[in-house]
Amino acid sequence: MPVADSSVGPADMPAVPQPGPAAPAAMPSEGELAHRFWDRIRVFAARRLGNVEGAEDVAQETLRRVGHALRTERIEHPPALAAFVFQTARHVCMQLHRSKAREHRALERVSGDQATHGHPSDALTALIVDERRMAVRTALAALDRADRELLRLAYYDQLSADEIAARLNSTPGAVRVRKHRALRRLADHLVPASAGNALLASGT
Amino acid sequence: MADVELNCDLVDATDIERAYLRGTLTEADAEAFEAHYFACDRCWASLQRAIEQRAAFSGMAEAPATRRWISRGRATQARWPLAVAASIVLVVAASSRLTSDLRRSPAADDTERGRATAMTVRASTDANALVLTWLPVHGAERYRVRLFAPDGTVLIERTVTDTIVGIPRDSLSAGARARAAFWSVDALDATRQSLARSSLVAVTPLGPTR
Repeated sequence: MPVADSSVGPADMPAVPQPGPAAPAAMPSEGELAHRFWDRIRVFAARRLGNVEGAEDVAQETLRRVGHALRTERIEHPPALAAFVFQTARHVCMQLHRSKAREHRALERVSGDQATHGHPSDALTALIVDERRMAVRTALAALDRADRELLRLAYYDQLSADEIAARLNSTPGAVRVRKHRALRRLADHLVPASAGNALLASGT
Repeated sequence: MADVELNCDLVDATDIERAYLRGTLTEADAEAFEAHYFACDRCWASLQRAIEQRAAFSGMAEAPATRRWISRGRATQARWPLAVAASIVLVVAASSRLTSDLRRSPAADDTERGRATAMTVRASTDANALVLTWLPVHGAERYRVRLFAPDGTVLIERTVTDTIVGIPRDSLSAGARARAAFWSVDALDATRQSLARSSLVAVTPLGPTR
């Protein structure tokens, strides 16, 4: 389990709204269901399966099953919906993974090739379409060098606040505040996603 | 952490998002985080942003390509045809994308979704844009349109309710404009189930912006 960072204090962070878990007041329509969970399921499945196409298969099948559960009123309480979707996606992933594993073992026996395993982040970053990458790069290029370097250390090099602070001769708290502000400035430069194009390259 | 329900404060304090993206969490901890972001819009938004930024920096840092289609033992590039001729009109049949194993699964509900439907698509280019049009599919609420590079990279994706998409040349990188590309259209119902899909429609290299 990751160790809590004792240097973090509420006073280090700008005040931001903390809405916490979102609990819909009523059951969503199937369209709303897809809008809310499509990308979440894709990310979840991409990490487990290691490819985008499989992730989309999981998303489609999960939403189909959950939609059926909604229509037949098997989900009684709106706050339970997210957990139901998660467990359904998990089950679908397991089924698909077992299926692919059998297929892969058969291919290995035939070809003698070993499975190639990429870093989990590879499958997740593959979810981002080229157009969106360009848009984010353009926005990053508009930042000053210090902001851009900080975000690169955080998101590309994936360093912790402590590691970044050591590199920049700063403190973890100061790094978090700077990162928050850099993200806000980045958001100001980002062109809103095109109509029908949400963050992770799937439409609404 | 598997026995502790995550909340946003714990997510922030333990830097779990970063560990999740690095793949260093135990499976139990990863599942706990996943269950949390399914329910929490704030942490979901943060994760989306992190994935997006990493993807953007991948190209800027001149790192080895991190974007790969991880298909076990098979090169995904082999799925995509090489560049061919000019804009073409194709009439194709499409069907559900579900794997045959899922269809046979005893846990699968309902009748098989997806049915063979012909999709007529037409691709064209002019001085300023690539344009794709298609005939409507009965039951479709929206259409997902993708423009692929020959290696399978998704260059552009749009979800529209109309039956036409126009992509400005400027939307594509210089590298993408120099290569052939391929359109694909999915007709989707309200739950994003694919009712029909076109085959890949080739588009000639666009060259530099005029």
